[in-house]
Amino acid sequence: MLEQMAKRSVPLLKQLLSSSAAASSSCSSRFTSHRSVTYMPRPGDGSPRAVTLIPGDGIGPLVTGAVEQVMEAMHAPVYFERYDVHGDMPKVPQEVIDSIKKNKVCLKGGLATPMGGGVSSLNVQLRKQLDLYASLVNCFNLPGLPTRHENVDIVVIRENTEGEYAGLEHEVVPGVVESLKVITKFCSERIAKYAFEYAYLNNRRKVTAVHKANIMKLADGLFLESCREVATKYPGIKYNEIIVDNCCMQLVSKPEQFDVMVTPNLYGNLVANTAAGIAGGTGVMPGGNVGADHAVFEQGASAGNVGNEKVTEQKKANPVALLLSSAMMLRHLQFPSFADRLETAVKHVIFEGKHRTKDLGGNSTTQEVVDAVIAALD
Amino acid sequence: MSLQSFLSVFRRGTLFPFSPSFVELERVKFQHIPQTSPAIMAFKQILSRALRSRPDQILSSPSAFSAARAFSSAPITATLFPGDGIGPEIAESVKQIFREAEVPIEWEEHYVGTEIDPRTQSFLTWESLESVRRNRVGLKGPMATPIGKGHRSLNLTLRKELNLYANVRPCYSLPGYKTRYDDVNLVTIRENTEGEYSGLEHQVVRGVVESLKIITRQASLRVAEYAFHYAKAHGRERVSAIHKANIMQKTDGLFLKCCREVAEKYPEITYEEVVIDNCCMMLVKNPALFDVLVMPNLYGDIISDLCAGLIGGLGLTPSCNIGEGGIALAEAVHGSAPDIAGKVSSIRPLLIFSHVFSKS
Repeated sequence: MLEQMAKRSVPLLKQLLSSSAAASSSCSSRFTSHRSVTYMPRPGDGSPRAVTLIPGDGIGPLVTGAVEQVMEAMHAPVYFERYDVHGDMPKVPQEVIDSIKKNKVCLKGGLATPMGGGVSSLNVQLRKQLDLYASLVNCFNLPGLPTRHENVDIVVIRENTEGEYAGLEHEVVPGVVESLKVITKFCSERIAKYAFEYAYLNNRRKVTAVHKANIMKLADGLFLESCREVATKYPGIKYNEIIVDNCCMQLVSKPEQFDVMVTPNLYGNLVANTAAGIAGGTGVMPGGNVGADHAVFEQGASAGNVGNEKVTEQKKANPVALLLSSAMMLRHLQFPSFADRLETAVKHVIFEGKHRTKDLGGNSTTQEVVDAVIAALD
Repeated sequence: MSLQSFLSVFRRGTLFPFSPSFVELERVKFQHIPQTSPAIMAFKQILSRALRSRPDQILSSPSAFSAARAFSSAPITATLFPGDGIGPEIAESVKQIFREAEVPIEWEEHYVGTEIDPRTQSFLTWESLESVRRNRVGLKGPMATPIGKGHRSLNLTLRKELNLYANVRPCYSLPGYKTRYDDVNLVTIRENTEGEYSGLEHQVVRGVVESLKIITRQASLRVAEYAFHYAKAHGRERVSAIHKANIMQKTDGLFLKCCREVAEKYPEITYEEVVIDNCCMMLVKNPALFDVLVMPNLYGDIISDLCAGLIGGLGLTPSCNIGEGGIALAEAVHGSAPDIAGKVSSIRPLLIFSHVFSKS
């Protein structure tokens, strides 16, 4: 009977082997998705959705222009409502806020922050007004992009509203300045819940809380307490804690041990930038800010980075980060197949390596990369 | 890690310029010492500073012993805190190496007490602190703070009592030890007394905690002065101040203002300001971009550990705390590792001895 089974299975095996050999023979076929997943939409989901677009400063208009072009080429059911906001405005105009509240989704380029006094960052203001309490940066190794570290796949979830960036500073006497870092149980709990939910919904195995509770015992201690409470509700997900300086050291030497990281505000900034740096740079890492009602997608990690004038003049900004963020946005809007197509095309362009901007080691302009992505869309 | 690499580290940068013949002596003596500790590295730096003030009558010669006899300086007393865990073993190897090199150091050992000294409110005795103040040079092994005993941590006590305001950590890629980063050559100088680590926290209402971050002009000026002085003394070309003044405008703004004031006094050194998230990213992508980094307390903690990670970990990083009045306390930044204490091979000192004798 075993012989009969073997005889029957041989032609099947041959077929499987031949089909897989055919599939791997050309690299392009590796990237056209032979999906077995069918996304079933609700009737009426295909109607175009409005998305607020804020081009921003510096390289912002360049990269958001890139996204608009690609969306048009894909005929994605989104249309953009443009609003001009610049970093030196005292606050975000009310019409922009109203538009975001109506559309619920926004895509934005970086807003420059003037330093050292006066106006507080518009990026932070926007997050506070819309209560976007979770900032997410997804750092992963792109195939074809050489980096010093392999096997990086980290998602940094950072509390976005309180902590060190509360902006509560005052001068006690001339020469002595105090800044308040506020940690509340409410905010820590909701960010921990978001992190664990994200891990659960995206099939992630481990959540790591980053803190400095050996020094700031009450503040980070409260954060850790909230994380531990939420961890007990998700027994299938491993939870551990790591001190922030040790965390940075481990990120630089052994990044494969991290999966999802949940952090308060300041540490999240540093950890996200470090993780983005080891995985290829902030020019390629997607990210977004999400709250209970709204979501704003922007380049991951340093959203306040608007590049320098040289890059803007030569039009050599890297659009990959914002393109991948807009793919995240498409998934958020429940257009997963468009998101898949966009991501596949972008990864294909990076893998080929012919069109890369300066920060990835190439010499192309933004427009060339966009054209390559449009050509790679199937 | 071979001693060659250790010596190249030593040669490349110390706290203060040193006499080249001292290095000759070292190289001849210690060709094949297999392992050494960062405590030794840190201490070498202080020692060179002390020796610099001695008359330079040392002849450079291949014979170690004749060079040793030419040392006409009086021995320097230095305080040694062996510490806990693997501390005593490392301290022992430091003493042996220095003895074989005939380095003119006399060690004054002080141990952590078993009960709290009321004058210092911690396990460190008043005598220990006085000895550091008197000798002005010290070496500290890793100290474990017992948890939950309701008193100040030992490191905190040392820092507050001796007014150690700057923590200097040179980070160099060691040629014998391969990591993913080969071209690291930077120094992180971190303000050590205030900032986010003031320890001033309180619970406002249930579920809301406030923590104070304090930046003062005096402390920022002090650490900026030290950073520029260090850069000048070591021929470093650039000092970068790391901050987050776009968000924390008044606090980091004050720190930056102080740095700018000091930068004007040193026109030959380039001064730049880098936002901390950019700094983190640049450090992991291209650490050769940085030279000397000066920062407030929290950022300094994280960045200096990140740089330690770039070169291979805390076991390879020297560190020194600078205090008011020229006190320098070198330390081992790693922990006391109680789990491997006692298992550190006792063959190591034998190896040192055997190689030394084989060379003479």
